[in-house]
Parts: sequence; C-alpha cells; structure tokens
Amino acid sequence: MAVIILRRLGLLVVSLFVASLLVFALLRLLPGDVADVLAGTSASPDQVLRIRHEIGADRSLPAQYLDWMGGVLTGDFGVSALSGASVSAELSEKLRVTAPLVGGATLLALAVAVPLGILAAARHRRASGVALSALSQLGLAVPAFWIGLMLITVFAVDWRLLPAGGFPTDGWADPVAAARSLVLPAVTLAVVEAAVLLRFVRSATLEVLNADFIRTARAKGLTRGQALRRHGLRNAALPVVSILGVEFATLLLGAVIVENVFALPGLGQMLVADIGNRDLVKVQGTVLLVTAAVLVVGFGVDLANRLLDPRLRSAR
Amino acid sequence: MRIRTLAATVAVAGLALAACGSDGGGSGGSGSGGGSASTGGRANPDATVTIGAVLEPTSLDITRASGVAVGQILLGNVYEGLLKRDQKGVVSPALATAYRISPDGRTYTFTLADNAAFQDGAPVRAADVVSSLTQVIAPNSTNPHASDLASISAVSSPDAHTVVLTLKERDSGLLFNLTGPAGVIVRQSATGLDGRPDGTGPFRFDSWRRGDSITLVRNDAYRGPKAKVARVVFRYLTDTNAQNNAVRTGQVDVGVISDNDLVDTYRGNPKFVVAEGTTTDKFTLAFNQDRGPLADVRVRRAIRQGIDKDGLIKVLGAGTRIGSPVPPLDPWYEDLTNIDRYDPAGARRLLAQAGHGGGLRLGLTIPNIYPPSIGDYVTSQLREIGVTVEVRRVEFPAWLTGVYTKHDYDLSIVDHAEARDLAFYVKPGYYFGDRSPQARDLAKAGATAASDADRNTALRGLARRYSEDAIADWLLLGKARQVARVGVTGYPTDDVSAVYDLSKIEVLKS
Repeated sequence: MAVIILRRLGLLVVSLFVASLLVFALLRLLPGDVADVLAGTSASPDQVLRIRHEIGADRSLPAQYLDWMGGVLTGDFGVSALSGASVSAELSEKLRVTAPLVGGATLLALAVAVPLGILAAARHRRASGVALSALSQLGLAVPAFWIGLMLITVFAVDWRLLPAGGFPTDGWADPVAAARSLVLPAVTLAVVEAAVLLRFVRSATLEVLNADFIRTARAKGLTRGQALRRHGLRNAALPVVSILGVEFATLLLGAVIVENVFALPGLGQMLVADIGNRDLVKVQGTVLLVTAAVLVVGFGVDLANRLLDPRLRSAR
Repeated sequence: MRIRTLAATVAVAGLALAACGSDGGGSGGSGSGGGSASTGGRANPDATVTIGAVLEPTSLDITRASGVAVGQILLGNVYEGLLKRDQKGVVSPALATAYRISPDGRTYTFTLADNAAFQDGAPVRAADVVSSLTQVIAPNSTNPHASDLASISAVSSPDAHTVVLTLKERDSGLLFNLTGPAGVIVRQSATGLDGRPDGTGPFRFDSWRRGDSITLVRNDAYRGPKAKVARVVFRYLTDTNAQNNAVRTGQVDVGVISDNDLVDTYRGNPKFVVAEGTTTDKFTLAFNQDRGPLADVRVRRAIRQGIDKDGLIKVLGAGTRIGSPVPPLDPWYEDLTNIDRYDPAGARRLLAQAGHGGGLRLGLTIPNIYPPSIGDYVTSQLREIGVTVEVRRVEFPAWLTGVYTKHDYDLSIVDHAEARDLAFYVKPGYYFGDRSPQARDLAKAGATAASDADRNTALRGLARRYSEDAIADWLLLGKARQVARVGVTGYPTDDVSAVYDLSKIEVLKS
C-alpha cells in the first residue's frame, strides 16, 4: 500500500510539472500583451517598451518560466503585472469565496443525490422512480446560469429573502451575511451537480441490486433493504466516489459561470477578468492552483477507493 | 437579446470604462438629470452611498494606470491637481489658489493653497508639486498620460508657496490637461500608490476588494467644503442582469442601466429616478488608409454614406449623431452631420467610380466588450451598397496589439472615450488619422493659439478636415444612463470630463 501511495504521489508531482509547462506555454499563444493594456491608448511606443521592461515581460520565456516556478515552489505566485499586487494574497482572498461555494454545492448535491438516487433505483419500476429519473434528466438539460437567474428573480427580487448577488465587502466578518450571499449560488451549482450524481447513484445501485451477492444475501433471508444496506451500498459507493473526483473539475468550471451571474468576487470571476487583461502571471497562478486541486482530489479519490475496496489494495 | 448602452460598455482609453459616468444637469443630454437637484430635505451625513459601476480599474496607481476608470474613482475625489475640472470640463483652482500666465504664454506661475494636506496631515509642499510633475515629464516616464504635459520643459519652485512651469511653446490645452490624471499631485517619493492612494481630496481611500468593490471614506480634515456622505462604495457589476438586480433590490443606490428595455421598467416607478446624460464616448469606425481600398477617399466616403447612423441609434436605444470626433459640449464644436449624409445610392456611385462596382470585401475588427449588434448593423448596412464585411470579434488586448499597435486591420470599431482628443488623430503612428502637413499645422495652431477664439477656429478647421477627408465614421456619441434610488441626489449624470464628482452626493434621512 505504501509503495502504491508513493508511486501515485510521484505521478502527481510529474503531472503538476507538466501542467505548469502547458499552462505557461499555452497562455503565451494568446494574442495581446499586458504592456499594451497598461499603456492604454495614449502612451508612446517608447513608453510601451519601458513598461514591458519594467514588468519583466521582455525577458526570454525560459527565464520567465524558471522565475515563476522558483517562486511557486516557495509558495510565492509572483505579482500581478497590472496592479503589482501579490498573486498569492489575491488567490487566498478569492478562495475564501470559491472554496465554500464549491464545498457547499458538493455537500448539497450529495445530500440530495444519494438518497434520491438510491430511492430511484429501489423503485425503478414504479412511477416515483421514473419521475425521479426524469427529474434528473431535466436538471442536466437546464443550463446553470438560467437556474441562477430564476433563483435570483424569485428569491431575491420578488421575495427579497436573499441577496441578489455580491459578497459582503468585509468578507466573513459577518458570517451570517457571507453565508446568506452564498446560498443561491451554491444551490445553482448544486442543481446540475445533483442531477449528474443522482444518475450515477441510481445506476450504481441498480447494478448492485441485480448482483449475485445480493441474491445470495436475500436467499439467506435478508429483506431487499437489509441486503442493500449491509452489502450493497459499499459496492455502489465505488463508482460514485470516482465520479465525484471527476465532477470536481466540472464544479470548478461551473463556479466561473455562477460567480459571474451572482457577481461573486471569487476565483472564477477573477480568472475571467485577468484573461481579459492578459495578466498572465495571475492567470497561470490561478490555473495551476485549480489544476493542482483537481489532481489532488483525483489522488484522494484513488486512495478512498482503495480503502473502500480491499480488492484494489493489492492491485497496481 | 439585451443591448448595453454604449456608454456603459467601454472606453478605448483603457479597459476602463465610463461605466459610472456622468454629471449634473446634462445640457447636452436629454433632461436635466434627476441626479443634480438638491434634496431640499435633511441629508444624512453618516450615510453610505453604493454606486454600481461596470468596469473596474486595473490598478489604482494613478501615475501608472491607463484608462478612464481609475480617474473616475480617484480624480478630484482622492487626488487633486493644481487645478480641477467640473463635469462640464470647466477649469477652476484646486491645490493652487491662483495662477498667472506670462504674456508669451510660456510661463505659468501657481500660488499654492497654504492649508492643503495629504491624508495623514502632512502639508502639501511646493517640492511635492515639483516632483510629481517632473516625474511625468521625465524622459523615462512610464505615466501613460505623459503626452498631456509634453509642452512643459521645466518645473521649479522659487519659494515654498509658488510653483513655476516653463513651457517649450504656448499650450492652449495645458490648463485642462493639468486637471487630468497627468496633473495629480502625489507626495514626493511616494511609493505603494497602488495599494494605498494618498491624495489631498475630499475623500480618502479606504479599501479595494479586487473584483468586487472600492470604498472611499470622507476626509474630515479636507480644507474645502466637506463631502455630504460618510462613505462611498463603488461596486463592480459587469453583468447587465447583476447590475439591474442590484439596483432593483437596493444593493446599490445608483447603477448604470443601459439596456433600453430595462430602463423602461424603471420609468414611472416612484421608487427610482432615471437619469440620462451626455458622454464623450465616441463610437468610431476607423479606416485603415495604409493598405488596400481604404487608401482611396471615395471608398471611405462611400462607407460613411452607406451607414444610417440614426438607424443604429434606434437599434441601440440611445445616442447622439455626431459628424466628427468633437462632442457638442466642446467649445470648438460645429455641426458636421451634413457631411456624407446617409445616401446609399451615392455610396454605390462612389464605389463604382473607385472601381469597386462589382463589390468589395473588407475585414472589421471589434473588441468583444461592445454589443454584437453594432457590428451586425454596420455589416448589414454595408451589404446594401455592395461591401461584404467579415467581422472579427476579439478581446480588447488583442485589439490593442493587433489593430492599435500593429495596424493590422481594414475597419475597426471602438469607443474613443477620452475628452478633447482631437490632436490624437494627427499623431504619426496612430492607428488611423490624418497625416497630412495641413492637419498637423491645424493641430499645432490649436495647441499653441494665444486666445480661445484662435484655438476654437483652428480646432473647428481640424475637425472639418477629418470629416471631409473621411478618416473615420463617427457612428454615435454614447449616452450615460443611470437609475438611482429616490432619496439619493447630487450624483453626476453627464460623463464628459472623465471625472465622477462625489462631493455633492447626498442621501436623505429616511
């Protein structure tokens, strides 16, 4: 087991390194230059050259990459070319919005999808099961931003129950106000996510229900529910945990859209703005952080699967 | 599909945009603007006003950032220059209480206010003024607005209360330019201006949550009339719907609502006031004369005649027709909308004379911050006269590098938002314009004119030249539209001088 974990960790480090190279190189292909953005339309060409020199954009690409990586390894993501602000500081500030948003949406989605998915599987021949299935189809088909707009219209504009968007300017100083402003965005993200998970939970449970060991368990005298609880769920959890790892990336992507709809100052909104300004040092820091998060979650899922399934522990 | 008002969308001047732009009384605008009337009731001096804006500044270092967004937040509110301009562009004393201009127009002597102070209480010294302005005009200056003060050759201070500017030649625009971002006075050897703007104005900088909001608080030690609210929060809401929801639910007190249909939902609502004002947002269809068919003035004129500007204004829901880059409020304005009026038949004739009777293909590059309807409208109008347009929507930085810097384009549309920018278009190497010696002479005559009348004559001539030579087509002048909660007054409704004066905003006690 320890060898496997070490090997996976090594793979994680190599993937991160390759990702950093790709992120750095691909961003350099974008047309447009932050020095032009800084200079605007009244500066002279000489000034643009001076600005480019001042922010270090005139150095060779390998030198820029090494400089950046050197900093990243010590936890310093560099400074924004536009504002001179520390990227690490901004990333941690934005994470205080995005992390609770994505975390909250995941928990919400799980809380809805797991019981309903099992129910849909257990009753797959009855009307209620079919209805749940259809509902999840609908959840998949509706775009997140539309759900967001509808929630705003109903809960914020018409009923005035929750804020229409934004985040308190003093952050989490008032936890209730901060949490309130994350409710609608988290629900928006969770709807689509729950629909996806529900389908996986349902099909995983269905598969287990038809498995030989359940038939054996029932033959021993257990009811269907007992057999499912004692033997089935652990087996059904495997594919669901795996898909949760994959879906984490989708959730982060969804956060980009949801943060824009709800005017939340999070990672996604910052990423869109920075790309628009060609603030590449910030963009590559953000993308690397998100990539790392997805890879680490993948690593965690891998471990979790091994813990859940003894058969995987000895597998390579 | 929603259309944002142009005024609210952007400024070529930077990524900035005249989002929140505007001023009181809008003579050129439609209506005097609900914003300017005084409350008459009891104002609440402890109030916080939240203003919804669209484009956030990229940096708060006013000595380094380009674009008009940073100026709208800080100019006149946190920072002051020797002089200031009001929302109409009229110049008056600020850190200087008086100034004298020598008869040859080459020496400006300013007397400094003796009670002006930076926000920690340190007095403003002549040395601060000298160092601020010297940094801008230095040969290695990275101030993007350095060209505003290019006529100054030396800055000195004979005594602690006097600053003398020596000019290379007369500069009729100097007083106005000193009121702009190039003229702000920062503390000598100030650093870290991005994180902590430190000025002398009626507000002090409090905090900036990037991607969300900028907060200013009243400077209670200000030497002049104190601001009427305790705090002002600019909230950045890029999304049209987010801006609208924030206004409707009271999350912001004043917001930019540009979409025609959305504005209509506020009209007649007793809880809100719709304020319209004029701007300096000149939506400009630039012609690249350096290559291809647009080198021929007949083709350029044909394109101007082929586009019905009134129709575009109708499509967008707001705007004013202009025939040159001069907005009606500028002293050298002249109505030139009769030059190359809408005349599709005439346009086709001109194209035939130029040898393009069989049709013509041109590329059109537009930053994607503008509503797609502008490009669609121009494309469909030009199709009528036999010009096939291929639209390329690009991000603003790609426009800056491709079109603005490398001149790789045929047609381009951007909003030229800067005030009094007539002389830009004779600059050698500008991405479009008039490079003839005559135009340069007129610009120079305007800049170095000894009297306002002479200046106005020269600049009127220059604008006419631009229009007759068809260096571009001016599609429309944007309108600023804001919706405010009733009980909030004194916010600027026009946006003609790239400042957003917060000092008169009041909130009624509720």
